[in-house]
Amino acid sequence: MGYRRLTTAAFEMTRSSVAREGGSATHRGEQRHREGRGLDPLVDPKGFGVIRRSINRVEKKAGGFELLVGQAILKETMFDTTGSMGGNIELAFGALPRSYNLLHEVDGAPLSRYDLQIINAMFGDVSDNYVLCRSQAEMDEKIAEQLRLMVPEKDGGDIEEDPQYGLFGAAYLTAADIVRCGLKSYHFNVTDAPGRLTLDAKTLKRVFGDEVFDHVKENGHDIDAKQIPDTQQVVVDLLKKSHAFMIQVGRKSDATRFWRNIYGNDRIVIVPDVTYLPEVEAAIVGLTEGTIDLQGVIGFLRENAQMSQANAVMIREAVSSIPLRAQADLPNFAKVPLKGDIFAKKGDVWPIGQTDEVKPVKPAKSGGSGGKIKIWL
Amino acid sequence: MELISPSGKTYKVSECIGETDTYTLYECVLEGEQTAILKIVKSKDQNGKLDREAYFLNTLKEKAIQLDTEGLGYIRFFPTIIETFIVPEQGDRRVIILSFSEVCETLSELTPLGRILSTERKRIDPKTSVWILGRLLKLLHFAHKLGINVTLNGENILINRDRHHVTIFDWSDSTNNVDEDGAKNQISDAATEVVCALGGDFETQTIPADKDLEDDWYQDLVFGFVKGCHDDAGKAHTVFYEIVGSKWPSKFYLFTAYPVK
Repeated sequence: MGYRRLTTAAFEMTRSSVAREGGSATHRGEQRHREGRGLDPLVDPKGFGVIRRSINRVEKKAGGFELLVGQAILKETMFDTTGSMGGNIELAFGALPRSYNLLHEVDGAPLSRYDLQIINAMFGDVSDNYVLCRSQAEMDEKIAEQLRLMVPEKDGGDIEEDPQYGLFGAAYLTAADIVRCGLKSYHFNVTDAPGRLTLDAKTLKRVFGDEVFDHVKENGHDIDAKQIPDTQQVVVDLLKKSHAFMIQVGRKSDATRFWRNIYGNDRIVIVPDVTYLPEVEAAIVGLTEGTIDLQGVIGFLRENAQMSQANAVMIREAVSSIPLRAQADLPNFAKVPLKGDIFAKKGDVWPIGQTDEVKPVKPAKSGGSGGKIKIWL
Repeated sequence: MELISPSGKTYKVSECIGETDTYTLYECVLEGEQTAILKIVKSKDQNGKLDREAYFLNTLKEKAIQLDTEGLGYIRFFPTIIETFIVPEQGDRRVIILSFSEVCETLSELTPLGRILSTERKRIDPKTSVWILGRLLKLLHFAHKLGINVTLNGENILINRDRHHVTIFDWSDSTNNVDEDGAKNQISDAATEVVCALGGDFETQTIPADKDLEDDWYQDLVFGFVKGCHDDAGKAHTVFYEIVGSKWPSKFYLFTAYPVK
């Protein structure tokens, strides 16, 4: 795994390759599908052991194992690819270097101290050939390469879509080292439509394979095939290990109503389209990590994304109600291992010499500023 | 104690004038000797509350300045934010400096609406309640147009009884994305606080008899708002003044309150 990370140069090579193959980012995945070969295992939720793993990159050194890049942190973005959302993977591909740079590379990038690892996923409808495509957690140009393997069907289906299976994967079939540290990963669900409230065992097996419940158990969750949690419970469980947000594209009130009940009002971020998704994600992550505050969002976007004032103001308004500093205020935030730290053995959570136990994550604070003013003038 | 902000402004911080579990309030004096309030979170992990409040107050101020060229007075519905910053020597806690110069000469001119009944043991008269509820509805219309939810309770609604100003003190619990249910609840909250100040009885849905009220029209009107019959504060404001205006002449009524037995 080494030190590799996504560079603009490496991405441009991938982009050239896409152009040579006809210009569609998802040509490879679609071609494979037309040939009857199904999904590439890299993006098939059934592939590579089902559980997606975001793991620290370490190398054997005298005295132990050196953390090469930083603490691994996972960001997963799951795109709706039905109907008018059908072009989302193409857009995500084109915006990838912008997204990665804003999160990790620019001055003041919110995840610069970490080893940023990215999963991209796309969902369709249960009536589609593929309900879900889900990449591996990658940190270099493989992020782009795996987007090329996806198969968005772009069909309308019905009004509700089926992102709940992707949410299930994110909640129960993901193992991220950042969570072992007592911090959380990031999850973004990008859609313009309501979802459905229920999941069924048959579709779970179709998406993740017949052993799906064994893999869920292997990953530390005990789910009975006869008592599958509903979408609301899935998101409740996802929020235990992820700062999860619903990015609503457009202002359909039925979508807002549905997702507000699932995520809560403070995790619905409404944007007019997906053009500025990288900037929206970077603002959310920055506010969550505490690297920027609401007063600083516009400056960050103007400087690092060269956004117009009007667009930066629009994004700040969209993200203004999210929980602020939710990562920064977790007990272990300041204790996260850094590049160069030495671990006694692979898989250790803490480097040598750091004996702190992982403190439990504080329960989310309820709203309210803590009661009435006790004294007044 | 003096506090110097990153922008170089000096604040003379004096007595503690209030607190919640989240923040503490101090009186402070600005360089021009104007009195203001310094609000500081009690711990760093609450910084986000004041960060968001500062964002909302700046948004409200910007819009109010745009609209107030028409003399609509929106600027009085919220404290004027002077600045917000992090104080490293206070454990990296966030501070907001708030001015109330748009609504009072001295802070003692402001009273939390709920205190009139609970502390002064007085109930306001119906004509006094009209300007309070009318301004609250206008305030809600203004905030909701900007997508901002307003926290309305008797401690958070400040009135200047001589100048007939209404100001919402604390915006740290506000969120955006107002929807119909939120708007309806906040209109109801506003009416509920006014009914409390009137000395109303929620069980019997009545307000005390008054020389200006020959029948039940006013209590029916305000309890209608309490019950949630409106989800648009702008329309509610129009309806409210149409009905009140058909009964009482539009003029400046002195603040009037009666002792509660």
